[in-house]
Amino acid sequence: MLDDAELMQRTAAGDGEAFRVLVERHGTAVHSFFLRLVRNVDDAEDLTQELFLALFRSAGRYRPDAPFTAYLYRIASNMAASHMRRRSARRTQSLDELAEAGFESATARHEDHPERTFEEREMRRRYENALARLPGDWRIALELRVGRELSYGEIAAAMGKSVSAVESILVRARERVAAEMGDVGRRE
Amino acid sequence: MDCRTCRILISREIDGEAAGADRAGFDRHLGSCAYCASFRDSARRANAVHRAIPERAPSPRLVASILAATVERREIPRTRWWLRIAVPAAAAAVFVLGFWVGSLMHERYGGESASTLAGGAAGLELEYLDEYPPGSFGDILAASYEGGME
Repeated sequence: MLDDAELMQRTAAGDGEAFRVLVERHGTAVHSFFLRLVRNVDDAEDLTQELFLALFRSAGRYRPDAPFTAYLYRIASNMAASHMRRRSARRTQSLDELAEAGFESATARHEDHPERTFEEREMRRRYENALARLPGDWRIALELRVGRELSYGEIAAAMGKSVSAVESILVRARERVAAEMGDVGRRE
Repeated sequence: MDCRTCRILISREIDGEAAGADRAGFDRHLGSCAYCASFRDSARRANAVHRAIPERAPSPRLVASILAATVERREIPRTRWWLRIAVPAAAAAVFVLGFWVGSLMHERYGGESASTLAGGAAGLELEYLDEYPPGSFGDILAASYEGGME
Protein backbone atom coordinates (compact mmCIF):
# COMPACT_ATOMS: atom_id res chain seq x y z
CA MET A 1 0.00 0.00 0.00
CA LEU A 2 1.37 3.39 -0.99
CA ASP A 3 1.97 5.90 1.79
CA ASP A 4 0.53 9.40 1.69
CA ALA A 5 3.73 11.06 0.51
CA GLU A 6 3.95 8.72 -2.48
CA LEU A 7 0.31 9.36 -3.28
CA MET A 8 0.93 13.12 -3.24
CA GLN A 9 3.89 12.72 -5.58
CA ARG A 10 1.81 10.61 -7.93
CA THR A 11 -0.99 13.15 -7.79
CA ALA A 12 1.49 15.86 -8.79
CA ALA A 13 2.56 13.68 -11.71
CA GLY A 14 -1.04 13.46 -12.94
CA ASP A 15 -2.16 10.18 -11.37
CA GLY A 16 -5.84 10.81 -10.62
CA GLU A 17 -6.28 7.44 -8.95
CA ALA A 18 -3.67 8.40 -6.34
CA PHE A 19 -5.67 11.47 -5.39
CA ARG A 20 -8.86 9.40 -5.16
CA VAL A 21 -7.09 7.16 -2.64
CA LEU A 22 -6.04 10.22 -0.60
CA VAL A 23 -9.63 11.50 -0.55
CA GLU A 24 -10.93 8.11 0.53
CA ARG A 25 -8.21 7.66 3.14
CA HIS A 26 -8.50 11.08 4.80
CA GLY A 27 -12.00 12.24 3.85
CA THR A 28 -13.72 11.04 7.00
CA ALA A 29 -11.03 12.36 9.36
CA VAL A 30 -10.91 15.76 7.70
CA HIS A 31 -14.68 16.08 7.54
CA SER A 32 -15.00 15.10 11.21
CA PHE A 33 -12.24 17.57 12.14
CA PHE A 34 -14.12 20.44 10.52
CA LEU A 35 -17.51 19.32 11.80
CA ARG A 36 -16.35 19.22 15.41
CA LEU A 37 -14.77 22.65 15.15
CA VAL A 38 -17.33 24.60 13.14
CA ARG A 39 -20.40 22.61 14.28
CA ASN A 40 -22.29 23.23 11.11
CA VAL A 41 -22.80 20.46 8.56
CA ASP A 42 -22.90 22.73 5.49
CA ASP A 43 -19.81 24.67 6.54
CA ALA A 44 -17.95 21.46 7.33
CA GLU A 45 -18.72 20.13 3.85
CA ASP A 46 -17.62 23.37 2.21
CA LEU A 47 -14.36 23.37 4.16
CA THR A 48 -13.73 19.71 3.36
CA GLN A 49 -14.12 20.42 -0.33
CA GLU A 50 -11.92 23.53 -0.14
CA LEU A 51 -9.24 21.57 1.68
CA PHE A 52 -9.03 18.83 -0.93
CA LEU A 53 -9.03 21.38 -3.75
CA ALA A 54 -6.13 23.16 -2.05
CA LEU A 55 -4.36 19.85 -1.52
CA PHE A 56 -4.78 18.93 -5.18
CA ARG A 57 -3.51 22.29 -6.37
CA SER A 58 -0.51 22.21 -4.04
CA ALA A 59 0.48 18.60 -4.79
CA GLY A 60 3.41 19.78 -6.91
CA ARG A 61 4.76 21.88 -4.06
CA TYR A 62 4.52 19.15 -1.44
CA ARG A 63 7.88 17.95 -0.11
CA PRO A 64 7.81 14.72 1.89
CA ASP A 65 10.31 15.99 4.48
CA ALA A 66 7.49 16.48 7.01
CA PRO A 67 4.73 14.02 7.91
CA PHE A 68 1.80 14.23 5.51
CA THR A 69 -0.69 14.53 8.37
CA ALA A 70 1.10 17.65 9.62
CA TYR A 71 0.94 19.10 6.10
CA LEU A 72 -2.73 18.17 5.71
CA TYR A 73 -3.77 19.55 9.09
CA ARG A 74 -1.70 22.67 8.67
CA ILE A 75 -3.94 23.59 5.74
CA ALA A 76 -7.03 22.36 7.60
CA SER A 77 -6.16 24.25 10.80
CA ASN A 78 -5.61 27.49 8.91
CA MET A 79 -8.95 27.05 7.16
CA ALA A 80 -10.76 26.22 10.38
CA ALA A 81 -9.19 29.14 12.27
CA SER A 82 -10.03 31.54 9.47
CA HIS A 83 -13.58 30.22 9.29
CA MET A 84 -14.09 30.50 13.03
CA ARG A 85 -12.87 34.10 13.00
CA ARG A 86 -15.15 35.00 10.08
CA ARG A 87 -18.20 33.20 11.35
CA SER A 88 -17.86 33.74 15.07
CA ALA A 89 -21.31 35.29 15.18
CA ARG A 90 -22.93 32.57 13.14
CA ARG A 91 -25.07 30.06 14.92
CA THR A 92 -23.48 26.66 15.41
CA GLN A 93 -25.22 23.35 16.00
CA SER A 94 -25.12 21.32 19.18
CA LEU A 95 -24.05 17.71 18.98
CA ASP A 96 -27.68 16.68 19.44
CA GLU A 97 -28.68 18.76 16.43
CA LEU A 98 -25.79 17.31 14.51
CA ALA A 99 -27.01 13.85 15.47
CA GLU A 100 -30.34 14.66 13.86
CA ALA A 101 -28.44 15.68 10.75
CA GLY A 102 -26.73 12.30 10.69
CA PHE A 103 -23.89 12.95 13.13
CA GLU A 104 -25.12 10.17 15.36
CA SER A 105 -23.30 9.68 18.60
CA ALA A 106 -21.93 6.26 19.40
CA THR A 107 -22.47 7.01 23.08
CA ALA A 108 -26.21 7.25 22.48
CA ARG A 109 -26.41 3.63 21.40
CA HIS A 110 -26.15 2.08 24.84
CA GLU A 111 -29.74 0.92 24.81
CA ASP A 112 -29.07 -1.54 27.61
CA HIS A 113 -28.13 1.30 29.96
CA PRO A 114 -30.47 4.23 29.43
CA GLU A 115 -29.35 5.88 32.67
CA ARG A 116 -25.76 5.70 31.47
CA THR A 117 -26.82 7.21 28.18
CA PHE A 118 -28.42 10.12 30.02
CA GLU A 119 -25.27 10.67 32.07
CA GLU A 120 -23.13 10.52 29.00
CA ARG A 121 -25.38 12.92 27.18
CA GLU A 122 -25.25 15.33 30.04
CA MET A 123 -21.48 15.00 30.26
CA ARG A 124 -21.21 15.54 26.50
CA ARG A 125 -23.41 18.62 26.68
CA ARG A 126 -21.28 20.14 29.40
CA TYR A 127 -18.11 19.25 27.56
CA GLU A 128 -19.47 20.77 24.36
CA ASN A 129 -20.39 24.00 26.13
CA ALA A 130 -16.95 24.16 27.73
CA LEU A 131 -15.24 23.60 24.40
CA ALA A 132 -17.33 26.29 22.74
CA ARG A 133 -15.92 28.88 25.15
CA LEU A 134 -12.30 28.07 24.36
CA PRO A 135 -10.24 30.25 22.00
CA GLY A 136 -10.18 28.85 18.47
CA ASP A 137 -6.55 27.70 18.45
CA TRP A 138 -7.02 25.89 21.78
CA ARG A 139 -9.95 23.96 20.30
CA ILE A 140 -7.90 23.16 17.21
CA ALA A 141 -5.01 21.89 19.36
CA LEU A 142 -7.35 19.70 21.43
CA GLU A 143 -9.03 18.28 18.33
CA LEU A 144 -5.68 17.58 16.67
CA ARG A 145 -4.45 15.77 19.78
CA VAL A 146 -7.55 13.95 21.03
CA GLY A 147 -9.64 13.62 17.87
CA ARG A 148 -6.90 13.19 15.23
CA GLU A 149 -4.30 11.67 17.59
CA LEU A 150 -1.43 13.74 16.22
CA SER A 151 1.77 13.83 18.28
CA TYR A 152 2.85 17.08 19.92
CA GLY A 153 5.49 17.46 17.19
CA GLU A 154 2.92 17.04 14.41
CA ILE A 155 0.54 19.50 16.08
CA ALA A 156 3.39 22.00 16.41
CA ALA A 157 4.13 21.62 12.69
CA ALA A 158 0.44 21.87 11.78
CA MET A 159 -0.15 24.97 13.89
CA GLY A 160 3.16 26.67 13.22
CA LYS A 161 4.05 26.72 16.92
CA SER A 162 6.78 25.20 19.09
CA VAL A 163 6.21 21.90 20.87
CA SER A 164 6.35 23.64 24.26
CA ALA A 165 3.72 26.15 23.08
CA VAL A 166 1.45 23.29 22.01
CA GLU A 167 1.96 21.55 25.34
CA SER A 168 1.13 24.75 27.17
CA ILE A 169 -2.03 25.27 25.08
CA LEU A 170 -3.22 21.73 25.81
CA VAL A 171 -2.70 22.13 29.55
CA ARG A 172 -4.50 25.47 29.64
CA ALA A 173 -7.33 24.15 27.48
CA ARG A 174 -7.80 21.19 29.81
CA GLU A 175 -7.72 23.39 32.87
CA ARG A 176 -10.33 25.70 31.37
CA VAL A 177 -12.56 22.80 30.32
CA ALA A 178 -12.32 21.24 33.80
CA ALA A 179 -13.21 24.58 35.40
CA GLU A 180 -16.11 25.18 32.96
CA MET A 181 -17.47 21.72 33.63
CA GLY A 182 -17.33 22.42 37.35
CA ASP A 183 -15.00 19.55 38.07
CA VAL A 184 -12.26 21.70 39.56
CA GLY A 185 -12.07 25.33 40.56
CA ARG A 186 -10.07 27.91 38.65
CA ARG A 187 -6.64 28.12 40.09
CA GLU A 188 -3.23 29.27 38.94
CA MET B 1 7.03 19.36 42.37
CA ASP B 2 4.71 22.35 41.91
CA CYS B 3 1.14 22.25 40.56
CA ARG B 4 2.10 23.76 37.20
CA THR B 5 4.66 21.05 36.48
CA CYS B 6 2.28 18.40 37.73
CA ARG B 7 -0.51 19.55 35.39
CA ILE B 8 1.88 19.48 32.44
CA LEU B 9 2.80 15.91 33.33
CA ILE B 10 -0.89 14.96 33.70
CA SER B 11 -1.58 16.31 30.24
CA ARG B 12 1.40 14.42 28.82
CA GLU B 13 0.28 11.26 30.57
CA ILE B 14 -3.22 11.51 29.07
CA ASP B 15 -1.73 12.08 25.62
CA GLY B 16 0.69 9.19 25.91
CA GLU B 17 3.71 11.47 25.56
CA ALA B 18 6.88 10.95 27.58
CA ALA B 19 6.07 11.96 31.17
CA GLY B 20 9.61 12.86 32.23
CA ALA B 21 11.98 11.37 34.75
CA ASP B 22 10.48 12.47 38.06
CA ARG B 23 7.73 9.87 38.30
CA ALA B 24 8.10 9.52 42.07
CA GLY B 25 7.76 13.28 42.58
CA PHE B 26 4.71 13.29 40.30
CA ASP B 27 3.01 10.53 42.29
CA ARG B 28 3.86 12.21 45.61
CA HIS B 29 2.38 15.50 44.45
CA LEU B 30 -0.82 13.82 43.22
CA GLY B 31 -1.15 12.08 46.57
CA SER B 32 -0.97 15.35 48.46
CA CYS B 33 -2.73 17.84 46.14
CA ALA B 34 -6.50 17.49 45.85
CA TYR B 35 -6.65 20.08 43.06
CA CYS B 36 -4.21 18.25 40.79
CA ALA B 37 -5.86 14.90 41.57
CA SER B 38 -9.30 16.23 40.60
CA PHE B 39 -7.82 17.88 37.50
CA ARG B 40 -6.38 14.55 36.45
CA ASP B 41 -9.78 12.82 36.85
CA SER B 42 -11.59 15.57 35.01
CA ALA B 43 -9.11 15.69 32.13
CA ARG B 44 -9.32 11.93 31.73
CA ARG B 45 -13.14 12.05 31.61
CA ALA B 46 -13.11 14.91 29.13
CA ASN B 47 -10.68 13.00 26.97
CA ALA B 48 -12.97 9.98 26.99
CA VAL B 49 -16.00 12.11 26.03
CA HIS B 50 -14.05 13.71 23.18
CA ARG B 51 -12.88 10.34 21.88
CA ALA B 52 -16.44 8.98 22.00
CA ILE B 53 -17.67 11.57 19.50
CA PRO B 54 -18.06 9.47 16.35
CA GLU B 55 -16.39 10.19 13.09
CA ARG B 56 -18.61 11.19 10.22
CA ALA B 57 -17.77 10.30 6.64
CA PRO B 58 -18.39 12.95 3.99
CA SER B 59 -21.45 12.28 1.86
CA PRO B 60 -20.93 10.43 -1.44
CA ARG B 61 -22.19 13.59 -3.14
CA LEU B 62 -19.39 15.59 -1.53
CA VAL B 63 -16.74 13.06 -2.54
CA ALA B 64 -18.08 13.04 -6.10
CA SER B 65 -18.02 16.82 -6.12
CA ILE B 66 -14.39 16.90 -4.93
CA LEU B 67 -13.30 14.42 -7.58
CA ALA B 68 -15.25 16.23 -10.30
CA ALA B 69 -13.50 19.49 -9.41
CA THR B 70 -10.04 17.95 -9.34
CA VAL B 71 -9.19 14.64 -10.95
CA GLU B 72 -11.99 14.53 -13.51
CA ARG B 73 -11.48 18.15 -14.53
CA ARG B 74 -7.81 17.47 -15.20
CA GLU B 75 -8.63 14.41 -17.28
CA ILE B 76 -10.62 16.54 -19.73
CA PRO B 77 -7.81 19.02 -20.48
CA ARG B 78 -5.53 16.05 -21.01
CA THR B 79 -7.79 14.91 -23.84
CA ARG B 80 -7.88 18.45 -25.17
CA TRP B 81 -4.11 18.63 -25.00
CA TRP B 82 -3.95 15.75 -27.42
CA LEU B 83 -6.64 17.32 -29.54
CA ARG B 84 -4.68 20.54 -29.65
CA ILE B 85 -1.84 18.60 -31.28
CA ALA B 86 -3.91 16.28 -33.44
CA VAL B 87 -6.28 18.78 -35.04
CA PRO B 88 -3.64 21.19 -36.39
CA ALA B 89 -1.51 18.23 -37.50
CA ALA B 90 -4.47 16.78 -39.42
CA ALA B 91 -5.23 20.18 -40.94
CA ALA B 92 -1.62 20.61 -42.04
CA ALA B 93 -1.62 17.12 -43.55
CA VAL B 94 -4.79 17.87 -45.51
CA PHE B 95 -3.29 21.15 -46.76
CA VAL B 96 -0.03 19.51 -47.87
CA LEU B 97 -1.93 16.66 -49.53
CA GLY B 98 -4.23 19.10 -51.30
CA PHE B 99 -1.28 21.17 -52.49
CA TRP B 100 0.49 18.06 -53.75
CA VAL B 101 -2.61 16.78 -55.60
CA GLY B 102 -3.16 20.26 -57.02
CA SER B 103 0.41 20.38 -58.28
CA LEU B 104 0.03 17.02 -59.94
CA MET B 105 -3.23 18.05 -61.61
CA HIS B 106 -1.69 21.32 -62.73
CA GLU B 107 1.24 19.43 -64.15
CA ARG B 108 -1.01 17.05 -66.03
CA TYR B 109 -3.94 19.24 -67.03
CA GLY B 110 -2.86 22.82 -66.28
CA GLY B 111 -1.93 23.90 -69.90
CA GLU B 112 -5.07 22.45 -71.43
CA SER B 113 -7.28 24.00 -68.83
CA ALA B 114 -5.71 27.39 -69.26
CA SER B 115 -6.04 27.37 -73.05
CA THR B 116 -9.56 25.98 -72.87
CA LEU B 117 -10.56 28.64 -70.42
CA ALA B 118 -8.80 31.31 -72.42
CA GLY B 119 -10.51 30.17 -75.61
CA GLY B 120 -13.86 30.08 -74.00
CA ALA B 121 -13.35 33.44 -72.38
CA ALA B 122 -12.14 35.18 -75.51
CA GLY B 123 -15.67 35.99 -76.55
CA LEU B 124 -16.24 37.52 -73.17
CA GLU B 125 -13.05 39.56 -73.40
CA LEU B 126 -11.60 37.97 -70.33
CA GLU B 127 -8.06 37.71 -71.65
CA TYR B 128 -6.50 37.82 -68.24
CA LEU B 129 -7.64 34.26 -67.65
CA ASP B 130 -4.89 32.85 -69.84
CA GLU B 131 -2.32 34.01 -67.32
CA TYR B 132 -2.11 34.87 -63.63
CA PRO B 133 -2.01 38.55 -62.65
CA PRO B 134 1.61 39.69 -62.15
CA GLY B 135 2.79 39.24 -58.53
CA SER B 136 -0.11 37.00 -57.57
CA PHE B 137 0.35 33.74 -55.72
CA GLY B 138 -0.62 31.85 -58.88
CA ASP B 139 1.94 33.80 -60.89
CA ILE B 140 4.70 32.93 -58.40
CA LEU B 141 3.63 29.30 -58.37
CA ALA B 142 3.53 29.14 -62.16
CA ALA B 143 6.98 30.77 -62.40
CA SER B 144 8.46 28.34 -59.94
CA TYR B 145 6.76 25.45 -61.70
CA GLU B 146 8.12 26.49 -65.09
CA GLY B 147 11.54 27.03 -63.58
CA GLY B 148 11.43 23.54 -62.13
CA MET B 149 10.46 22.04 -65.46
CA GLU B 150 13.48 23.60 -67.12
